[in-house]
Amino acid sequence: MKYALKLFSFAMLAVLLVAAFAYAGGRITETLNKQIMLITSIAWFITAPFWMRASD
Amino acid sequence: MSTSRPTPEDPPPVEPASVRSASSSRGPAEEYERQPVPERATKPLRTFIGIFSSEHVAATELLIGPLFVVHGVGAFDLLVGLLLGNALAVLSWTFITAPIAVKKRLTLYFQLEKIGGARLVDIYNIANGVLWCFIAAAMISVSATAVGVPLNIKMPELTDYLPNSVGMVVVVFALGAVISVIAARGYDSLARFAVVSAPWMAVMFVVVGIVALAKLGVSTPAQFWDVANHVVWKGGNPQPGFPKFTFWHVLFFSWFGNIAWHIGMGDLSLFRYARKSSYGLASATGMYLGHYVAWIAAGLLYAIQLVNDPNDTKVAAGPLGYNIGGVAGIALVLIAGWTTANPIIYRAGLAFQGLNPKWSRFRVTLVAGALASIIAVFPGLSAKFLSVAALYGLILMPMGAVIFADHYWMKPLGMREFYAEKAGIRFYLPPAIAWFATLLASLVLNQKFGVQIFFLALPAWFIAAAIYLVLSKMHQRNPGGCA
Repeated sequence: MKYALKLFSFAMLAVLLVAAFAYAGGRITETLNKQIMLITSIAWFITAPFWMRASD
Repeated sequence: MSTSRPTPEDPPPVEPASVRSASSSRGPAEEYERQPVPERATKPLRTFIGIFSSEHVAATELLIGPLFVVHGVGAFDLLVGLLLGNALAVLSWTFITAPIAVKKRLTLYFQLEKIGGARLVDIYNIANGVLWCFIAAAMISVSATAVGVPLNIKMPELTDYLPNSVGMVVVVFALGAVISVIAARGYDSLARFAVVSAPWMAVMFVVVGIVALAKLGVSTPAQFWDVANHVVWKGGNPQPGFPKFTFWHVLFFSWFGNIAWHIGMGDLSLFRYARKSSYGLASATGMYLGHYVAWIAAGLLYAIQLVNDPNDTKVAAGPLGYNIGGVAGIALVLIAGWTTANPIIYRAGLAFQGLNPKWSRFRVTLVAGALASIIAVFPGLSAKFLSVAALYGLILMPMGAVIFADHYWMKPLGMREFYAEKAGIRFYLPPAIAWFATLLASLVLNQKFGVQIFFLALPAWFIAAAIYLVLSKMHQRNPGGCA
């Protein structure tokens, strides 16, 4: 479970990054990119504390 | 710039989980406050990579990046100056700080006490505490601009030295109060939040840089160079009231932006845990992520603001972040400011409390927070942050020169190192005189000879070391003498 959460958290950061490149390449709109930034950021903060705390 | 470091006097509030787990498995880090760190307690290289890469992505990067543009720097001067200046900073950590830290394995404070006595450490603590209040104030003001966006509060202009809206004053004090109370009550949960935020903040800085480049119409390296030269860092006149920045300004600022930690020896407390002095190279992660990528990204955000409205010169991180990242951008600014202001206020409180352990740490931290909040109300601090950062390093750096001279030159010159400890005195005058005389000499160089503050640290280092050695020679030859 912890491993899956960690994977998910980093996947969210990857999506955050990929979306920025997609916006830069004209594949998605600025509005969509901002929404992805918000959603992936929330997902990071929801999931990361669990596996980071577990590794403390 | 770096904002907080694990020191022996307090539990490290923002260090990565890997460090905390390593510490807790061998007892708390404070265990080695007054003794060398034993070999078994040393940490692997990845620990230092983690600390540097997380600590150097802070709210102040959102001020520094735009301020380079304000100072009229050119693209080549910025990009190459930062590249070399950060390299010099990394080399300073690797060849000046880390070797002494690994050899002695003592904290900065304990080493200073051995050299200059406990009273000298008290003076250092006061200076450090006050300076931390200024840095925390910058963090609070950055966060306040993020809060001000949804509240539609008027942001301070670049030329404003006094607060220009009641709303911003209220936000600053409210934010300062919350941060101070959390710092005063202990900040375990917020420290954990800071650890969680660090990787996200690093990625977000890269993301806003990519988005900013796209907004500026950059899709190839050639376009980047063209935009960098003609849109972002045009190299023209600086904004009125700001000195023109050249390659040398950028190089020295990026080298000495963290001088308090490397040449100033603040990171003795960190690198005493290093197995090898080459671990100083880990600082490259922080320098090139925080002081290269983040500064450039922040500069790009500011350039977009100027493209949209050339008369809109205010450096307000909140609106800059919102323009690029929407709500996530505001969150970046708020979290970057909050997570770094909190431990700094805590440490300022500890530094002041060190003067009298009977004082309540809670109350002293609240006083430090109140001081930081009052300073944060004045937007001139943010506008002049490059000078403030340089001054911060300059004030603390002479003690680093004293430690360096004591470590390498005392014995070859026939003197005793750690003199205060060996002589059993609480206040050894030579390092104190070296400190204050160096600051006086720096003032003279600045006022009489026009040497800008960004360039003072280099001559000041040699002045401090020379004064310390000469006075020590005089004193140790004649311990009853005036020196």
